[in-house]
Amino acid sequence: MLELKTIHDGKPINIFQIYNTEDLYTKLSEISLKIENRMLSKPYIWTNSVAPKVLIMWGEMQGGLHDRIFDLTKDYRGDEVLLDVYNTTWIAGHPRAITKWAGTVFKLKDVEPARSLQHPIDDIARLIWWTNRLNLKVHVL
Amino acid sequence: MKRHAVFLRGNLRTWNYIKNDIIKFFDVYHEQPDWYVCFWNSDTSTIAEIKNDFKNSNLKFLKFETDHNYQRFDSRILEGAHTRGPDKKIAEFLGIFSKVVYPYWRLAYLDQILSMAKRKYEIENNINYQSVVFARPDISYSTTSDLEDYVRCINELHSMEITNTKSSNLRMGKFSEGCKYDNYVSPDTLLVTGNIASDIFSTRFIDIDFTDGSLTRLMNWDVHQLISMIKTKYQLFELADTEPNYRVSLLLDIIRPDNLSMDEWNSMSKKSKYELCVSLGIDPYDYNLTIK
Repeated sequence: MLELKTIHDGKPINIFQIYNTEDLYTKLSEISLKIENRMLSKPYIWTNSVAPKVLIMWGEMQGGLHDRIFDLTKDYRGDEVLLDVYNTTWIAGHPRAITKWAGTVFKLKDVEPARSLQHPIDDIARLIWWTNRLNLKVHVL
Repeated sequence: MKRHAVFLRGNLRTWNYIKNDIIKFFDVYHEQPDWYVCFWNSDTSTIAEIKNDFKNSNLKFLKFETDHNYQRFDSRILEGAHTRGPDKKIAEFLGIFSKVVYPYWRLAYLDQILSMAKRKYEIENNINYQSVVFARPDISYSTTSDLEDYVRCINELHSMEITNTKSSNLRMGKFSEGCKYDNYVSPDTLLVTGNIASDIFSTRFIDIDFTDGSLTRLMNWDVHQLISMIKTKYQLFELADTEPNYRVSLLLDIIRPDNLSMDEWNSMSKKSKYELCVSLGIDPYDYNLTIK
């Protein structure tokens, strides 16, 4: 199940919560479609640089981290994302960057990084490699 | 068996004269692909007629899009540049260019619609298309390859590859105005893409550049260069080491009303074009000869 909620207390950020991570990549792809639908239904909001940022969570998050993510990402431009490299449980950024990332990560299994990048190869290394491959600017927390 | 998709989109134009050839070609050479079709609303044909045209094919998505829906975006496409520009003059300058690249964004918009429909279908049915072809309804397609070779090449397409788009590095000044200034161009008539490349290319309508106010993207008025910029930015290049540097030999011929050549068509007055289209049952809107 996906759940979308928006924080309104002066710090607007759209949060997608993924509860079942068995098929994470498919869920991410579904979220990308939801964001794109939103872009096409309310173009004014999403073409602007100050569009509310998107946070996708697929794990537990420490209290207060939402505020910190909002502060870090509020000035992000269309090609910037913030990745959690320690727990790999969330990604945040501009909706354009998020939809580019989440919309293609579904098929990541079809693409292998260059051999030199495969040691050590784990989920986060692959995600960062893929984010770079899409020409997104990656910030890490 | 690997599955393939065809995106057929744009203005209907001479569709009624060549539709059987188009459908037959891709049904045979792309092994009964799934068709995703989106046309600008026109009197040339109707939804029911198009459905009938595809009655023996795998039509997965069909939509007639209206100008009204698209125009919601048109004035805002450069919103980022307008609000972030250093002064009003630059904002006005960019506003003029936004109208010149109108055809590019209109096609990108249709591709965005088809891409979303395709990915929705992929998720719901847990499949990945091996390739996606971006085709137009006014072009006749053919190949010099034999069927077995062609199918093998399509099935070997890499997921991050766009093939059959010769990126010209030529001084094509008479053909493309933009080539005088930056001569790396790609055709807009046909693209054959791997599965991830198709998603990246087909979502260029909401690509990440706009809000950064990338001047090279926003000031460029050449459709062919804008397409090649997507390819270079994401490195969606031909990966085949075959000659003549194409995986597949896919030939095309733009069919104009009454089978006129490009020179003949371009030499006609707007009124003559209008009358010819009406006499052939083609909505003049398809050639931008009237405003709905």
